[in-house]
Amino acid sequence: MVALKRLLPKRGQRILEGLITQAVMIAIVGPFFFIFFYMFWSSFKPDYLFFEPGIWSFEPIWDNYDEVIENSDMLRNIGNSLVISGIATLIGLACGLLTAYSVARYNLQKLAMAILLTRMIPYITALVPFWMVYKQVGLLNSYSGLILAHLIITIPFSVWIMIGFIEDIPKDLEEAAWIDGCSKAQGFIKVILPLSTPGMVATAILCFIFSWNNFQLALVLGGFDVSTAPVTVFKYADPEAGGSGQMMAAATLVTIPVFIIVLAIQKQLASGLTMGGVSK
Amino acid sequence: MPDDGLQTQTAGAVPDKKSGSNLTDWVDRNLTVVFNAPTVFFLLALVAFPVGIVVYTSFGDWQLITNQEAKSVGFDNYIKVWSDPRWNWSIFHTFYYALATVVGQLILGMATALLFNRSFAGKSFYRSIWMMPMIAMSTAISLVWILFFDNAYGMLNFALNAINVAPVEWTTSPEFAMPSLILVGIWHHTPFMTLILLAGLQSLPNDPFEAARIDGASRWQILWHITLPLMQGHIIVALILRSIFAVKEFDTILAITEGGPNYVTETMNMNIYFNAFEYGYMGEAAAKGVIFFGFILLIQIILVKLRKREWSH
Repeated sequence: MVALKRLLPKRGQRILEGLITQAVMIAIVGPFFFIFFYMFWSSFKPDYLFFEPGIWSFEPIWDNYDEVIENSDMLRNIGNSLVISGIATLIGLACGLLTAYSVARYNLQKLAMAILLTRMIPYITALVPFWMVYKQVGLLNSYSGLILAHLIITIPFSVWIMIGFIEDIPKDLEEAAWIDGCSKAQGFIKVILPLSTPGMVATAILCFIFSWNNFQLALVLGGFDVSTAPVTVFKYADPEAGGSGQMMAAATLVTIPVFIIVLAIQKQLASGLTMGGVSK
Repeated sequence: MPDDGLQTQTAGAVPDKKSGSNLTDWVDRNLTVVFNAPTVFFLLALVAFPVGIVVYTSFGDWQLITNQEAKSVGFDNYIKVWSDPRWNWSIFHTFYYALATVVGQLILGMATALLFNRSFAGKSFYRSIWMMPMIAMSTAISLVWILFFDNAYGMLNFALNAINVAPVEWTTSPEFAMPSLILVGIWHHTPFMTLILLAGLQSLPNDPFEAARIDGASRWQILWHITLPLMQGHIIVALILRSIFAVKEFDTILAITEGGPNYVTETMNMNIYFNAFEYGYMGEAAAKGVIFFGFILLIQIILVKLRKREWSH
């Protein structure tokens, strides 16, 4: 009865609280989102309008994109990035899954710590020797060189995330497979592999994004022939490279595809990132 | 493993397990070796071997242009770097940048994690927008910030002008260059902080909160006396991860200020990059790289000690 009496004022309170929450969320998320809105919308802005930052309504044009595509190696380097990050992700995922399985099931603490340690190494410290060795063996400015270098991103990362996913798979299922006469390797292939597919998809996407976004490795080890998308984007930081509109077009070209992928599967990604992030 | 015992129990269902080839048996016996071989091979080749080379190089005086025949100079490089003011300043800049961004991220990240831990309309929509900077390419978002920071036509000075505040030289003045980069760093990486802290909040036990509510504690009291103490471990993990990333920050700084004006935004990472790949002092850069790695390990050790709990897993 008391609850009934209070129903009305409480309801009003709840609506007010809801409105305040919405206002707070917009106030916090808005400025963060504005950067992306600006990037996207200004990429259709004619260069001369950048001298008027207050102007938001204009006839959108494709010229900025046309110029970026014609005058820079953007498309080619997006292709390179897809190949390099894609292969590095696949290798990283394969290695990561196998190691994560044995760490999770055989409790290999020391190996896990060693892999964590490799994640600490700053790329620049690794880049000095990488560059020296690559120069000796002719791997600078090559696909295989960049793929190898990107493995230092993908392997430790996928091990670390996959451990969490494997631990979520009940051990009973494998044991049941062993009882049915599977060898341990068969049990892994028949039980773990299918069950960890969602985890692998999330891990693969995250690995790919980290590899795709990485700038420093390709900046040093890439070259005129083989380089990656972030390096092309970086060239636009020089004001003489192109106008402001082209800067925004170049930035949009590499950002929007990643957003679309991530929005499509964001739920799995959040759990993956949390696992990798918290590292338990 | 008690395979055989289990097998006898289910002997009817499984006629002959040992019919598998010797290879299968061998793989089973050495499973951890087989499964870890690729990872260990790659990590030895791509991390341990380079670390060996970088340490070796750091004891030589190799210069790419003037001195290609390196000879050993012992610890000279490790001593010499400390008399280079630009390097010493870069250490200061690195920690200044890291501390300021991580503290900013922690405050904003904790606030947003607490918000996202409640339920409200459109939560998942706001959350997906909030997470966008985390996956954005650093060089791409640097371009947007370059336009924002522009002295004459940037959005920030345009906004300041609208509220009658004198324009600021965001990236071209020594006073504001670093704070501007810190702003970018906070913008870029706070979502990650939010995500880690949110996961922590969601894993907290419910009982202490209920007890506090029954005792009539206010929201602030709950936050200060229950939530934050319980979150300590998660906060320290988040600090470890973010500070290690912040110390290594390179892309946005190179793109936005290139370490300038007058080197006031040059961090260790950039100093090593310039030394090695622009000026060619490989020996010295290698020594600096080793020192840099040492700093990162030190942060890790300090923060793990702070946590007092071992890294379970």
